[in-house]
Amino acid sequence: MDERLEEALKFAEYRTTLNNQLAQLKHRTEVQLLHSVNGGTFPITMELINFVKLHITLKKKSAILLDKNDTPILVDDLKAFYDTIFDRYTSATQAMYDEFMIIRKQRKVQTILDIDLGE
Amino acid sequence: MVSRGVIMFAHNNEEIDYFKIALTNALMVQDNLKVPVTLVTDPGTYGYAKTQFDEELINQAFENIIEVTQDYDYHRNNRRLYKDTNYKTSKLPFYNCNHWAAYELSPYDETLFIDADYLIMSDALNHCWGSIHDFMISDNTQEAFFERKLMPPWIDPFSIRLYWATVVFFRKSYEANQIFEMVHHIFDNYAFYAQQYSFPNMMFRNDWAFAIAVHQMNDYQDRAEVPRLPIPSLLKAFDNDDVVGVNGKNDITILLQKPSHSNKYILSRVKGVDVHCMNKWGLLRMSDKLIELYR
Repeated sequence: MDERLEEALKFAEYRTTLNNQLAQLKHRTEVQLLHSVNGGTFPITMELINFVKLHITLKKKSAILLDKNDTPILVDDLKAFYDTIFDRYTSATQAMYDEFMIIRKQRKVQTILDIDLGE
Repeated sequence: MVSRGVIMFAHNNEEIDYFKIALTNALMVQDNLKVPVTLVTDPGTYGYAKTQFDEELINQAFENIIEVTQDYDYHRNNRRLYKDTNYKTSKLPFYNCNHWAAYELSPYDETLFIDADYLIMSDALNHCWGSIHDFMISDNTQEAFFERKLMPPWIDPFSIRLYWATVVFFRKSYEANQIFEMVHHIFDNYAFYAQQYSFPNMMFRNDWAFAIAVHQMNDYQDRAEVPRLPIPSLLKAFDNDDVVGVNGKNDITILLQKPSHSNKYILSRVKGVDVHCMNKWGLLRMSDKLIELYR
């Protein structure tokens, strides 16, 4: 095979692996960005964080929020709820960022995966 | 005090040691979800397992082992194609006709009913406990090879929404009982429902039976009123793929088949998320390492 073509195919393989690991990372972060309270589960999004913050700014102590299944859930301690989702969001996205920065700099399949493939 | 736990089923055939897969996963469940596991199996499978594993390990993995009588004719005749990547295929007996019994057999108030090969590598399913809903299931899957086309969300293009029986949460309740009773009824009348819902009346599939049960409980409408599991989707590595490495706790390497090439693969490292590994041989090749790690 033409050496340049071989090189291009190797690079394509690297790109596929890189993209898949980035998608894995995003999926893992989504799984980590969940918070459950009073029988409801909420995906933690920037929208949720800001909506809860708005309630707190308006001096509300509790609120009814729609969870993942659009079920109305009473969140009786908005401040505690806010603290938890904010912390979880920042720690999960920080972990995602750290891993993203490592992965994106790698130029070989085995270094993207950080495993020993032998020779 | 509400009791909580996981229930799994394991019925070996002549090549697949489902007990070993379930035992491996039970140790992973306890490490990640911190709840006990009940296994439903049959005397033949359990008898064989006793010759393979020491009693201490079995007791560590399972809080209860429930032996049920097998319908041997069903076991012989319900065959499915098992794949160990594209390089090996075998048509083997598949004993899946008793999943409707999970409701009655579960000793827990709140139960996660999971397939033995759905490896628990995170605590995500702990979000189910204490849910306001008595029954939750998922209609959303994600391929471990993210570029591969997603499975269509229907049993058939002219039929109903597909729900995956890979993971089901239920609380002992009237509603959950009705759904499991319905699955039992669908199993007993599978030929009729196959015709009704446009799928081949061949191998019995719990995914289809649960999908039909959910459809019927929704008064024959595709209303999204059956609550979904809290997790975003069920991550799946198909039997064309292969588990090839264990890097540590909750960290495995999988060879994923490329969508456009049946004999080419990419490597993927799956960490800290649950994953459905459908290549049973691949799982069995790695299970000794996993047992060592989690026991």
